[in-house]
Amino acid sequence: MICWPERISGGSLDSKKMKLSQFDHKTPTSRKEVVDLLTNLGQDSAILAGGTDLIPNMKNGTLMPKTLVSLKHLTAEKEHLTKDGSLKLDALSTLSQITESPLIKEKAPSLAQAAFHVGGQQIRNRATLGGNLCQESRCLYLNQSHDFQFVEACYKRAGDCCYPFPDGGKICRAVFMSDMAPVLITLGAHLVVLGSHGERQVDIADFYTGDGLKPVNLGPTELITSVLIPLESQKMQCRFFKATPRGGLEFAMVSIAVALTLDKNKKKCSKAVIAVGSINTKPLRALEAEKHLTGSLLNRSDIVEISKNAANEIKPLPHHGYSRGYLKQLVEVYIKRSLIDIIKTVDNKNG
Amino acid sequence: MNGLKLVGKSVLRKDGPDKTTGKARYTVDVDLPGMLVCGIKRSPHPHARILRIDTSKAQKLPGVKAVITGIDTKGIKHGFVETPRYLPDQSILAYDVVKHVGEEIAAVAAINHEVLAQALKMIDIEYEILPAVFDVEDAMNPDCQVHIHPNHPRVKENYCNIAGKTQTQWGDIDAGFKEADLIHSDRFESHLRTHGYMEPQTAVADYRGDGTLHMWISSMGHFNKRKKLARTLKMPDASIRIHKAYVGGAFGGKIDLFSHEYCVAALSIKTGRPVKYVASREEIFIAYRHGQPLISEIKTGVKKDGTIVAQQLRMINNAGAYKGSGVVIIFLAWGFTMIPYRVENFKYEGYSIFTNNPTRAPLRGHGAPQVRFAIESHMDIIAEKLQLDPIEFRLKNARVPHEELPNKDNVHNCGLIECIKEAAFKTDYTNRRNLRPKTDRLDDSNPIKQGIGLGVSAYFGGSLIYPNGSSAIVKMTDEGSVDLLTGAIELGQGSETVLCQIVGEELQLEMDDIRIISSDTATTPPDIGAWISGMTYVTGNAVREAAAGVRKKILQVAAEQLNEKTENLKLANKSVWVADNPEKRVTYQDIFQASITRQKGDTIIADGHWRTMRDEPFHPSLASTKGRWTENYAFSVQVAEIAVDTETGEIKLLKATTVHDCGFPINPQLVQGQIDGQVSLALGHAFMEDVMMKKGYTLNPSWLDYRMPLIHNVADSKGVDVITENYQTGHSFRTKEVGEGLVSAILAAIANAIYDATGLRLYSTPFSPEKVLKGLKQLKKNRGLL
Repeated sequence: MICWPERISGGSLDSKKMKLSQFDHKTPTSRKEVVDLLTNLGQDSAILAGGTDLIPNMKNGTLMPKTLVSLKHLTAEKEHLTKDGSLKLDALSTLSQITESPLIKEKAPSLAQAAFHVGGQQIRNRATLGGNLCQESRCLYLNQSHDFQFVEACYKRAGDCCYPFPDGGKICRAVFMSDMAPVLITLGAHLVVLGSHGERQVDIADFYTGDGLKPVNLGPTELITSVLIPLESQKMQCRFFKATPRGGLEFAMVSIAVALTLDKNKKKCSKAVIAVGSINTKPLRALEAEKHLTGSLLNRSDIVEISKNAANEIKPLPHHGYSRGYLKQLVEVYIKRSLIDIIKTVDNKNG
Repeated sequence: MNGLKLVGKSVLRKDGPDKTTGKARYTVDVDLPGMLVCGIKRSPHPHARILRIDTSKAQKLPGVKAVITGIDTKGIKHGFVETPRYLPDQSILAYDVVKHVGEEIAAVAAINHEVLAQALKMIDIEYEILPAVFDVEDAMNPDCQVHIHPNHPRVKENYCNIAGKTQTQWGDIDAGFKEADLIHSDRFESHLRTHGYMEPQTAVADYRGDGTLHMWISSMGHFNKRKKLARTLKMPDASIRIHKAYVGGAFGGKIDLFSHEYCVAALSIKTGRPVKYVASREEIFIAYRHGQPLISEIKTGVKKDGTIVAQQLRMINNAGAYKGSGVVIIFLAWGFTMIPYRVENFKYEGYSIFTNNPTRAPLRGHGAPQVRFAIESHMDIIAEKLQLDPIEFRLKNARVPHEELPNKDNVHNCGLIECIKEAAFKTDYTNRRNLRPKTDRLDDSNPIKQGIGLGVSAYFGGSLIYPNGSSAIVKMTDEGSVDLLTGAIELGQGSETVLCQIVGEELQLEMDDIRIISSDTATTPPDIGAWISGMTYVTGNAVREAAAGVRKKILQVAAEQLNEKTENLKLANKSVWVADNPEKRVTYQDIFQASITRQKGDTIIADGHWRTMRDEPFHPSLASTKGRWTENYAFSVQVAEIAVDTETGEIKLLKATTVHDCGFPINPQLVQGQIDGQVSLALGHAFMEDVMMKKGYTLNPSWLDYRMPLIHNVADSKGVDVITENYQTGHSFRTKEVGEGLVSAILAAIANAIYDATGLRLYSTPFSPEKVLKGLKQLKKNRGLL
């Protein structure tokens, strides 16, 4: 079946200037069939779930798949707890569902919060968890059509230049901007991936490559089917902050996810994970800060120091007009605020 | 507003039902049988010589109906300003040198967008890349090697790339500075913003067999468009009919003739089929016109008691590749400087400089936000240096009612002093400002600091620009309702509502009794357009005159019918009755019939005309400022209450209070709508909107990366009207503008509030978190806190 873009964008023929190129459209009815199709079609295909990332990127020419394998005839499994107590989410869950689910709000509140901060309501109604985790990375130069400016293709568009970093070697430094990824990293989530070689589980921490050209560790025949969030994360103190210039309908300048495992008296930290999103070609960890926090008693003066150090170890890529120094400052402030918020909660609980 | 029926009342919008039910038809909705789509081939380079254009492949592509290039339009020049001093300088399509990214080179008409996209790719152009200059001060540097156009022949200064200059002075500037106890200089810079109209730039042309060209254009004034189209297409004005369509916002960006408007017309003439062009949002961001960044250098001499004795200004405008409105803004910047405060000794120089950036347009306020941000920040700095109360300092120098300005304009019932006092009173300004000890500003215990700031602005209304005046026709129908014919264009500001209110007031009709036929160049009379802040005043008075003419005829016929003198008659409910004998009455319907049967067939119809400053032939000189400018100055004072997060640099405008002298509000709710809209536009200007350009290329050509405020960013906005005029049936009125001036003082107020909150003085817009944070860091370093 050949699809014309008007059907998808819903616009009239004469008013939409940004056109999708022609593509074939497949509608498999099972995950297995999806894998088979991907195996047969090869590199020039793309998976269409919510389309909120794929379609705009096709419109501006960043992605030009010949075939779209639509997941619209697959049904999403409802989020639930598995036998071992893990929280299982279907990759096809929409971000709205994640935002509104009582189970997720109870067991992984920082994830529900991160989902709420993605785009706007209409985008969240369409966008899926799997799509968010596999989204294309972003760069001011990349994410626009190149009809009459930046006509030379950059590395990401299979060309031979880089506009923002002209002397930076043949690598792409587009920033990976998922809000869900840093949170899932702090929760220790695993992704269930189905491919022509069968099913595998991958720690989300290993899923992101840091290669701007190919930011996710997903084979050409593979798709994420579900996300498993382990039981122990449900006892952690988790926070999520997304720094944006206007507080909505936009990608982050920086997003911060923090998860602390606290001991019984709720003051001593036995495990800490801090992940920073939208700051580099993959989500970064503040490992030194995590080390400082682990085994220590939480107090405000240490937190100020730890946040400063965290900002020092995080290496931001200047992106979307924000300088390195400013992004570091935001990292510091939002890690500090996350940790202070945890202390406040603990203090309140303790009495 | 006592005794008035419709004027002064917040009646429902005339266009409300159309817009809320989705029936409103915009130019983008126009769809004609056999219509072709038009696309424009644009320059990928900021400065290059075109060596060769090959359109042969594109022309042969099936589905391509016509291609035009610079060869077809050679010699046709147009410009925002077309005067003997500032000759038109833009080509429809470039044929030798392109001077900015996105400049138009060829236009194609094709049967659909797929063919069109292919055809545009097939146009082969060979360029010789030329060196380019983007920074305004680099461009004007005498050593600049890039000469975009020859210097303006009348400006003999040792600078490069001068598009134009405005200069004026009065008093004795040197003597003035000698008198001063304090001389203080500052330099302010503003950044590039865009209009953000929802409806894109679009036009439809339909050239018909009878030699008439029918067009639909997303425009701000059809008569100005028609004049320029007729001249460039070499067609009689009357052969071009621009039809009415609603306009989805403009904010100054849709005034001038645009290349695509000429191209759809030329392609329709060439193909004999309707042709439509809709610019993509990326094209609008990259190739179309934005606002104008200004550099403002101000030096002011003040006496200890706060009297301003001398002021010298130097403004530099980055005009882009063609003159555009760049040579107008340097004139206007003078005006926005001199209106609110008395300065006996004054010198002004404004330079407009060519760079290889896209051409510029007016943007709501057209220079006022940039100028008032600079001057009102400067005023607060001086007040602090002289330990003067900033309110008292402003009151001391503020214009008083009936004062004559140096250009011989009169401020008439100027409400500035009342506005300042009212704003200070309503916000408890002085107390709230002084309550916060300055030393506490950078105390880290609470990172959120609150501050309050104030700014003053003034704006002109309805100056003399083509067609200089407005006319209107009111005609009665059989059943006693009326049709109003006006060239005024409804672009969201509420013109149709306000004009109907005036007709209704004069004739004592309900809003539903008035049908408005507007902005159609074939059927409605000429109109000044919605772009010099004068529609309510100029078109409003024309409409009032036309309605008054109908009223006079109604009374004449009624007097005959009732055998009474006209002065004894009253109008209401579509009838006329005798004042002391309400039983003795005759309906409008009967009057209309009587007029036809008794007055030799005359129906009831009247026209009205208005023009500002009837004794002035022209607009004042853009070069010397000589000549009258307006007779309607509106004054405003705005107060901003803000919170600064000193850890992230983020600022929130918590509350905006606007106290303004708009004469009197014909529709208070529309006035409040204008206030709220301008406050939110200024808020975007202040904090988030920024067209990011690098070497002539636009980095954020989308709604995602060019951030306009969302609903939750919009501040609590309160408006207070200072009423200085009144409305009386049968008399002309002098209302003042309310659609542009209020984007300005609030910007300065925010800057002054940031200083109040943190001690950080910002000399450039936007007040981005990054800039605020950097400034605060520097402050702390300077004070030994870091």
